[in-house]
Amino acid sequence: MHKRPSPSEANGEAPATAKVPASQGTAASTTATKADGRTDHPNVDRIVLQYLKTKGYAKAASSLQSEASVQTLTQLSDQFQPHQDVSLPNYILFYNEAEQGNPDAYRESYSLLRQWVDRSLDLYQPEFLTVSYPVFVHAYLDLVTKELKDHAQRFWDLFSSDHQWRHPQDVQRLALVQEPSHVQDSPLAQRFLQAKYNVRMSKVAFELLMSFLQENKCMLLLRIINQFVNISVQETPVGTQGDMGLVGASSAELEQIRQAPLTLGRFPIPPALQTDVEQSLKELMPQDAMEVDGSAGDLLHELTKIKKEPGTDTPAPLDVPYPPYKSTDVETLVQELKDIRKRVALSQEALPSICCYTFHNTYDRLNCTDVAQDLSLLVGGFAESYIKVWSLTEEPLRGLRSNFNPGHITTMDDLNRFRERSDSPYKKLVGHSGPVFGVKLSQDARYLVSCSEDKTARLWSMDTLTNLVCYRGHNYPIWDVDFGPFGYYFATASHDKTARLWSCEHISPLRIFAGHLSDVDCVRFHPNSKYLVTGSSDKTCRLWDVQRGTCVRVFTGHTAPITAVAIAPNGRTMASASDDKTITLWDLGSGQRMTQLTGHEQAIYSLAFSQESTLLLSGGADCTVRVWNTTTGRSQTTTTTPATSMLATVTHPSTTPNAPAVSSAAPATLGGKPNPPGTNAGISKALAVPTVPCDQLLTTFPTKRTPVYQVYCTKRNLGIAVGAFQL
Amino acid sequence: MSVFPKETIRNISETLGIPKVKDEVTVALAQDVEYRVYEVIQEAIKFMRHSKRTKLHTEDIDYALRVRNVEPLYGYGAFGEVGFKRVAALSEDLYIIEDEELDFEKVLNAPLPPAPRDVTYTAHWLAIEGVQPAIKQNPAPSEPPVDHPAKKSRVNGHAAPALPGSAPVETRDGSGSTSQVKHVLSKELQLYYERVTEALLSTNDVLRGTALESLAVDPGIHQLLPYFTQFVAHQVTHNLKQLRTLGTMVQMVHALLTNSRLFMEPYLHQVMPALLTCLVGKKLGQGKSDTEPNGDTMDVENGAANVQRTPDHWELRRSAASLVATICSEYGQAYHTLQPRVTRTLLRAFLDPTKPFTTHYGAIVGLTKLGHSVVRLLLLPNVKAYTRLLEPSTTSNDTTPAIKDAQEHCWQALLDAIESLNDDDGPQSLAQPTASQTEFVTESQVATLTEFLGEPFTKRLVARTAAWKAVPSIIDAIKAGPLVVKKPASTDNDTAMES
Repeated sequence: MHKRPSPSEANGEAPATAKVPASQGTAASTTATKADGRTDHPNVDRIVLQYLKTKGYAKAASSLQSEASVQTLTQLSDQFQPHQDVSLPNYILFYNEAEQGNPDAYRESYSLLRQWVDRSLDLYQPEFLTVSYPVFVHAYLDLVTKELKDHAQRFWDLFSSDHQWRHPQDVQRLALVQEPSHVQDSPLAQRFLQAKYNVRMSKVAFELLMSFLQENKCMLLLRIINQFVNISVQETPVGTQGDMGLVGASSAELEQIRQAPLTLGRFPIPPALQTDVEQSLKELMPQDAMEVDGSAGDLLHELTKIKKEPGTDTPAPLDVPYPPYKSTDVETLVQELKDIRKRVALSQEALPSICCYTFHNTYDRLNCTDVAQDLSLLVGGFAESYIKVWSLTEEPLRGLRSNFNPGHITTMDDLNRFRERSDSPYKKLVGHSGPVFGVKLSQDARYLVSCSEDKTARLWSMDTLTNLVCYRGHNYPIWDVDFGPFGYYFATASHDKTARLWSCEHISPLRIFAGHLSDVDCVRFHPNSKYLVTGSSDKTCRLWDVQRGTCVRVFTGHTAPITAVAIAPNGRTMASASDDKTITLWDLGSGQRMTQLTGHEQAIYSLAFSQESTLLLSGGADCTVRVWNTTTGRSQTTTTTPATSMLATVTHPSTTPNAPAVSSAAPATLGGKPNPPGTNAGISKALAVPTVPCDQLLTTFPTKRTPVYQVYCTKRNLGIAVGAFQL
Repeated sequence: MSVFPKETIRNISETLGIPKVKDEVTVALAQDVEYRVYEVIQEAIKFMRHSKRTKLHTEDIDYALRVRNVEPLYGYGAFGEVGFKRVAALSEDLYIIEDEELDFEKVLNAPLPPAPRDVTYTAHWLAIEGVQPAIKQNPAPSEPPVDHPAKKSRVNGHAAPALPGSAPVETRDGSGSTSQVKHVLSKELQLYYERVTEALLSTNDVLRGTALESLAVDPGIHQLLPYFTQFVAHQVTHNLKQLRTLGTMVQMVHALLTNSRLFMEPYLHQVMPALLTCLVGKKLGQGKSDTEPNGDTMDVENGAANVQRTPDHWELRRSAASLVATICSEYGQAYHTLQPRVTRTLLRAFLDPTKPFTTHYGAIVGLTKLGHSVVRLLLLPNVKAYTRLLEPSTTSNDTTPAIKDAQEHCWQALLDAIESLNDDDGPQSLAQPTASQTEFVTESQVATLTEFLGEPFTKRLVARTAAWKAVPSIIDAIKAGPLVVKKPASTDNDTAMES
């Protein structure tokens, strides 16, 4: 794929025009006077005249015009010869000025653009619609900043329907920005003004657009596109995928980010630990050859298999420093090997068993849940600031009494003597001072980390059932937390637009991952602990390098805030769910979208991959757990999404040379009557996110009335769903 | 335009002590307020989303305000809805938050509300190897009750009958429920049901007759029986004012009973209450019997005019009574408690002086139809007491004509009932030949009657020439009194004992 970093190189003719307004855009009126030093006098006259006209002093304007004999715009444009390149800047200068002074110019030129988009080839329509969205937003914001409230309102009324289908929330939110002070305040407007909107376009479409804008002298739009839109030109039609939205980086930078090499392989087991495990397995070998769990020999075999896995992109052991391993780590690894032996192979044909834990009497106060990897504990975080822990095994939970002298404790038995005698089925952990939004158990279920509205994260010991550490650093509520795959590290995602990496031993964050343009809503570690992925309200997901603290991939394409992310155990696939009720599968290596999964009817709360990474479980507010096939998505990497493929099939085969077809359509648009608003409805609907279940949805398991808060897949491939029953 | 009218802004500014606010200012303020409110709500929605809810709570707003460094609005708890009340003041509508005055004493002395139930969890298999097991914790396969066939058959806006025997789906885990058996109706049956019910409720007599006939003979409608019985019950409870509908329903039950291919027995318990309502209902029809100011004459006229189209409610009661009697005699063997229960209900209605005469009439007719033993054992001993109830009001002038009419009907019914003792071919028939020979009532007979049945009743009885024949058997019955109780070996015996 041939990519061009900036539009200026796209075409021979285009760059000249495309560049000029860029320099003029912001300071057009000031340059107007300076541009022509000799003829200073008439220029001033004209500016005064323009001022009078906009202020509505019609009589004064006409008298000035007659006295100073100012050339009108039409006269100027009559003089203008399009093929004379020399006068083009001059022309743009005047036009810009005229359009800036004329509030109707926005509406007129935008409707021109829209008509043209309407009549353009279906193949390129999605791309044009994509690029017209930032134009729409900026035109509106321009009108608002110029205090032309009524014009802005009218503009929105006329054209908002074009973009409602794709950006419903933002378009609605935009309508409320009605004062210049709102523009300063509104996070949405600020995002648009500060970051450039990234659009991918095919070469042909880009050229068509540029020639249209020049031909129709839509300098205003050209200015907006130059100032606020990043267009990266590609060879092939991109369809709806061209909409990358606001990322906070230019396409070139994104491209650069995408080139960063990733090491997505399994994190190596430290050799010393490996030998220890081998040692312990060999010790076991003679005794339990008959054991049901699979003999130690089998386990050893399994271990060597893991060792032998292709090591090309295995991270170096020091990429993520861990403290020296302990004896418990040996046990954990042995247990993991046993689990691998007992794993049920899942595939499209062999669907998983799912155990559902349903909470009752929560009265909507349960915010988040987690289950231990070995299904020994069930944890719930509540809106009333506390966390409750249930034991899923026969063993009751027993905390420590508070009245003992730690100096007297030397052995585990000593400690156990001070345990509480209560036999309550759960333990309440009190410490937070705001709703708990995230809880996560470490992989060995010995620690729990939680985050809350009170801007803190807390570490709890599941052994003593007490709070160990309180981590402060975020300045705003923390939305989500995830433990690293080997414990020790954890990451938080916050309302303050950052995600942070912490280690259990330090009370300040080790890394701050900044770059998202809005709240970071969810965070998950990569299984090799070298990366983590975040999902944000700015509709993007990002992959961060834990060690370097840099963003290494940006995933754009969702049209609503991200609600959940998950990385497959194979480390190569990522799934993200967004508020638009779709799930997207991404290839981490290339940063490309693999496929979009549709079928959920309401918000999706949680995602989980099966251990083979072939199936994806999802659960959400529509009280269902759905199982998706992720393998066929791989072959679809090159094919287009349903929407675009549908569009592609309806294009006329006869109009193969696209350029002439469209250029002939453009003048026709000029002469034709303006289309009533909403003509785009047809295409908008065709492009809207389909809600029909896609064929990758293998099955749906409805619950009675339990929104599924969390789905999880154990090491043995048992599906777990957790939710709160709603009365 | 903003969603906040400028009057609101003006009202608020007045409360803040700024009496005069310019129009432009209010408009600008309203717009700004709308924008700020919207921003806060956007922020609050984030909290809602992260609390995994789909409903915005007041506390979400509080947190959103806190995030923006604004003091939260205290005093709006998460529970309980805030009620807004409209107050018309100075010709403008003001909306205020309802703030009840609470008596401190009362609040302190009130018992504590029950503690909320503790959060618990249950575990179940949502899927086993990709198959959802049919256990109570999982929704029934292809659950949606919307698709229930019966639901589709909505006729004339009447709710379709629910499937009897299928309890509503158990939603609360832990309470026992057995797996449901699906009752699937074929399309044809659904259509039939729809058509028949429609025809029954139509005003076209021909159509109605055809429908009833079809119900009486059609062999293949057994599957619809539960729906029909439901239909009857529903129609009766909802159309107490529509004599016509009630009559149709009685006829419909009759038709269903006559259909030899239908097994009515399991559905009797649903039909009986409806029939008894038709029998002893307090007020059936458009309240003609007691709201008509012009009373008797009008009634008669109306009755005469409408006799073809709508039967009066006495007629309805009579037909219901005979139907109840039929059912009792037919199913009495299988349903041992059926007749005792019916009798008890009727007797209670009869003996309750607070009940209106219309109910009494129904009860008397009903009991009469149940057979001579019932009459003898239950009606006869009570005649004297009951006539006392009838008597004073008959003479007093303040009773409305409607009530008089009702009393008259009761009299007639009672007389008919006592007279019916003669018609029976029970043990009394032996006395008949002797009685029939005497064409008049002797003094001694009158005396006996007066003694047992009271004077007013005896007078009326003797006045009815037709009753003369019956007098000896009545006297026999009176004399037999409680002794006869054990003598007849019919099912009525049990009834009497039960009652």
